[in-house]
Amino acid sequence: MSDWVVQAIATAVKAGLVIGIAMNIVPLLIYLERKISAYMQGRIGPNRVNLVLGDVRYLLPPSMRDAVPASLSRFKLIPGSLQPLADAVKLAFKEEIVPASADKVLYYLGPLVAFVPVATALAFIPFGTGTWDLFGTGHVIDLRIASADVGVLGLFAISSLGVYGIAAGGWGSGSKFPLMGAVRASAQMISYEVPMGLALLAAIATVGSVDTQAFVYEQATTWGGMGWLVFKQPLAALIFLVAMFAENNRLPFDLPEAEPELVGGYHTEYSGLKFALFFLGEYMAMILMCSLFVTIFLGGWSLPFVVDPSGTSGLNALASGLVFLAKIMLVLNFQVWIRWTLPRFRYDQLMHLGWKVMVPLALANLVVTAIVLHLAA
Amino acid sequence: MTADAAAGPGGEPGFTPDFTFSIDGVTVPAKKGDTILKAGLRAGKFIPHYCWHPGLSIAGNCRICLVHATKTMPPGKPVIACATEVVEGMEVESDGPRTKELREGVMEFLLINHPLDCPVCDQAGECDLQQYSFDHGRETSRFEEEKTQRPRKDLGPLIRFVGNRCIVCTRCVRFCEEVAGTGELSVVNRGDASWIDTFPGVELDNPMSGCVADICPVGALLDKDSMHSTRVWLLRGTKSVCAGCATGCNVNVETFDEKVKRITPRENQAVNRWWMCDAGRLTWREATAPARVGAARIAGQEVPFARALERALELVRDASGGVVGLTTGFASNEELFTFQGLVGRGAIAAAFAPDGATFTSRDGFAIAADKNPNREGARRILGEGALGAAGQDAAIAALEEGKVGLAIVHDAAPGGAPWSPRLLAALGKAKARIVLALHETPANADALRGAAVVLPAAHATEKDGTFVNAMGRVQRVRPAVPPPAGARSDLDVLEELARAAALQPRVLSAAGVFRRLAQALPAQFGGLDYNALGELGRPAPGAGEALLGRGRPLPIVDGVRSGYEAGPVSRAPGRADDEQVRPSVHHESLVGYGTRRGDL
Amino acid sequence: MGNVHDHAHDHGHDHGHGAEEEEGAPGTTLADRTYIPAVMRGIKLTLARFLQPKATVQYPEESVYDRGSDDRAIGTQNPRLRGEHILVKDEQGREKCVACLLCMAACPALCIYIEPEAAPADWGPDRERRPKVFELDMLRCIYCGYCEEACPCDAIRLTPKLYQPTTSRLERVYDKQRLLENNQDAQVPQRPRK
Repeated sequence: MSDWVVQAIATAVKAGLVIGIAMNIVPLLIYLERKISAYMQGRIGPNRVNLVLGDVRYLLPPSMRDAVPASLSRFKLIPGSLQPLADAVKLAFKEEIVPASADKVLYYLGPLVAFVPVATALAFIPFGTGTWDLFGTGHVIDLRIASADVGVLGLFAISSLGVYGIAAGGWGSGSKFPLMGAVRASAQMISYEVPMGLALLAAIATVGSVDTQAFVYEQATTWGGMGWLVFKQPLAALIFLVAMFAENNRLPFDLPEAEPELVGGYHTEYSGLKFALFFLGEYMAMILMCSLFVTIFLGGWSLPFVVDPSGTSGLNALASGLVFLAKIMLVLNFQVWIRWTLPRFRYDQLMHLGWKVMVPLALANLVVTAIVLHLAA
Repeated sequence: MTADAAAGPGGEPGFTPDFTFSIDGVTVPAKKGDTILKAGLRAGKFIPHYCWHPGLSIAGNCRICLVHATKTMPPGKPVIACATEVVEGMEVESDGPRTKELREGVMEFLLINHPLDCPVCDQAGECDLQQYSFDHGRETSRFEEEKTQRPRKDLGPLIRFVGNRCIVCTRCVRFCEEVAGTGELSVVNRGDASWIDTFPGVELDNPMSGCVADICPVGALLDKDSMHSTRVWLLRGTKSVCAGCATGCNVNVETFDEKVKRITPRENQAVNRWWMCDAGRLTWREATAPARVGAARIAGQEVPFARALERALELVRDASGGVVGLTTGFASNEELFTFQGLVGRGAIAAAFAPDGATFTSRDGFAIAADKNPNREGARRILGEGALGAAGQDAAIAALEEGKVGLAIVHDAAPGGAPWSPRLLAALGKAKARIVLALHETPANADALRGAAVVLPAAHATEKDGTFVNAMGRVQRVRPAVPPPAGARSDLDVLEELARAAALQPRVLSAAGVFRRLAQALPAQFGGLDYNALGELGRPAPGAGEALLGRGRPLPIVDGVRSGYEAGPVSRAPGRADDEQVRPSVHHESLVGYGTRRGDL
Repeated sequence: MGNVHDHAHDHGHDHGHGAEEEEGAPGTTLADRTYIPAVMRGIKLTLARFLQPKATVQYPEESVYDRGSDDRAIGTQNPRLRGEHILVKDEQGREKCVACLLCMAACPALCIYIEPEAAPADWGPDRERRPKVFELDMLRCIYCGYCEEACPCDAIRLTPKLYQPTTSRLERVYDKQRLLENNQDAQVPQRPRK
């Protein structure tokens, strides 16, 4: 079988795998977010919707409940673990309401545009080694969907389209709060893409490539496998991390959907599955950004003594994938942790931080990096 | 009755003051012969009273209206406002500390033997004793002795007497004597042991006996019909007209939770003065009777109202051939007018309930023998030809010809309209039949059987429209409760049918129909404006002026006892049955008849 | 630095005015203006809370009053707690309620509905009325106790019984029988007042 046929089949399998896993991280993340927030607030969070749907006795008519031993009723498997499923079912059965003043085309387009580019951009993320020899057949599989050299640049180009979905949804709703949310989102995205890009430039300069797999190899092969850019470029990592929160509209930067000010922000007028798609897009964007952060600054799928960067065995490839998953889960949980710790910025503070602090810092970092690299060369 | 009945709509038209006096420094105009209380009420100055009632003679025995006044004899002695004639320049103090003290004293005496059972007393909430106790009473009682116990018993079919609550104001005794003219009641025993009772072997069963519960200022006389059914503060009154007979008594239909709880009279000096009859009080039960047609039917099957109405509209749209209409004296003017338009040139027959009991009170209030609330309206709108046997014969003739496509039957008569068996038999010859019926009884079962559509008709307590009473007065009847589940009122249904028949572009309200009616029939309804009918109605052209009961023979019945004039002061306990029996009429009742006291 | 550190989180948002304040005052140092120490303190705080015991009580299976002193009990039940109502019976087993409707009038939540009727003849002359229908919507009730105060016969009382959740709203509308049988602990017949 010629190599391109194998590669084509492998790409299809990889695409299915990435989307499948990413989509399954979303409910897990929702569950974790609710649990973590509850624990931080002295509560225990969702605990009723289990695999046996809470107290089994409630499945029986009231008169028969006492016949079942109470001890059995406490039997629970990961309390609340099916809560996201219950939420999804609820959303699926909710009435789809379209405001009379809505721009129908934009209104329906909004959630799609918010979701699709984010899911597409995942294609550039390397979730494992690039040197897996497929069961010793000699076909080398790169564990990312799109092995494009433009890598990081392509990823940015596509994922930045997501804000159009928010803008379309906000404008298309024909209502003031969504519009304000959309305008805020647009301004915030533009503002924070600048320092994010500048931080990234410093990283690209350090690595000397825009290929995402090259980032990982550079990090995995220097400083004894710990040449992660978070150590080489700490300031760029910090700036990227902060900008990442802003790009994801997460607290403390959730101004586009600030509930006390804008009801629900850009998705105020959405209900049912369209709202669910917005929700999904938002969590997918979180996964994407965390994957990017892991890839660029936290050594991607690499881990000393666990993953051999140039290994070709299947076990090595599996280990690399699991390491990558573990890393993004940690960063995702860090995002949740921050969300329930910090209060929301005021809008002028947001702009102040973006343009007057982070842009100059990122610029300075880039200049210093360039000078150091020039001198080192 | 409410304490301020006299200040209500019965005020004297064309009052011209002869002189002025003052109450609490306020100048009040008065006529010669006025009492302080009456002149004060006319000017809006309220003086508390129990035993005084504008429709009854002055007894002056409750003493709560005690005031201080100048120009009285002996000077400085408090006088009762209800019985003291005013003179020019008199200065009355009704609101000062001295009068407050007087009322406190009177209240304390009245409450000595009065039980504290307001929670179970049906009068609570509209009780004068309760009200004045709040206004003028003491907070605590100084009375430490045993309260006297007096009997609790039924005085008649409608009235229950709770002796302990009685303050012996004698309003009820005077009512039976001076208004009803039957004199069943009297005060028995003396002092704190006295109470109200019927003469031995006599029941309080005159046709107006329910009024004694209305005028009783406390909870001693209760209407058994509404007793223990609700509390008065929950009731919402709707100013309507009684549909029990052609008198058209003005009433308050009192409802709670969309259910009628009782009907009480409303003062209208031109129709019913302050009274109404016992039969009228019970008319609301017709709306909840088991015979009530509660749901719409198509070909005998119960269906939702909207579907039945839709079917009826189809029948009207598709009708071919002539139309015959059957209606009753219970339809309002608006319903009759729309009905007439709907039937067009076809025959209309109106049936009327047969004459029933009649009664005339001594003050001109009368129960009409004609039990149809709107026979006069039917006569004015449909013309004499449609009434009675003539109308029925015409309808039978049209039906038996066999060319009638649609028969519309509007039967709002309680108990079913008394159409002749021949007419009912002929109804089957119409191709289709739409029936609006209030009740389903043997009388009208033939009309309902085989009808294409049966719709529930509205009871008088559910209607909006006007009736014309026997004296030609046009009066508003207002909806107090909604029609049965899902149904619409008769007028709405008839208007929808008229629209379906392409007679008119839209459905009109009662006001709209009345406007057209007044334009179409100037000789019968000219000059009347629906919105100007007000709460008391207006006479239609050619209406009689006096009360229905004026001009009728006085109801002096053999064997009527004199209760009041042989009153408590002249009788010892246990001797009531020995009293001489003689007819008696109070002198004030005779004013309208040109008689003087002593003529009888 | 340590002193500044202590107050950093209090003044984190004031950095815009920091220049006008005294040198070394909280919120003016470089460390404060980067927010980083404050954010770290916040993260530490939420992590500490994350690890602390939780206050959640699994209502309705358990109540805050069920627990012993060892566990995370929240409080002890006040004997005057206003919970579910009862209709009280007298010594002869008749309901004391005379259907005066004063509780219905006093109720600010309009949760009481009563239809009176005449008492049965064998109840004797001291009782004229009783409720035919007595419905209390526990979902509407705000447990203010005005009905108890308005009652001239001590016929309705609020007992310390907390209500149990149900699977339908209708189950929360108590009829007369249920109110008469509710919480028998509080059904002590009271001696009639003098």
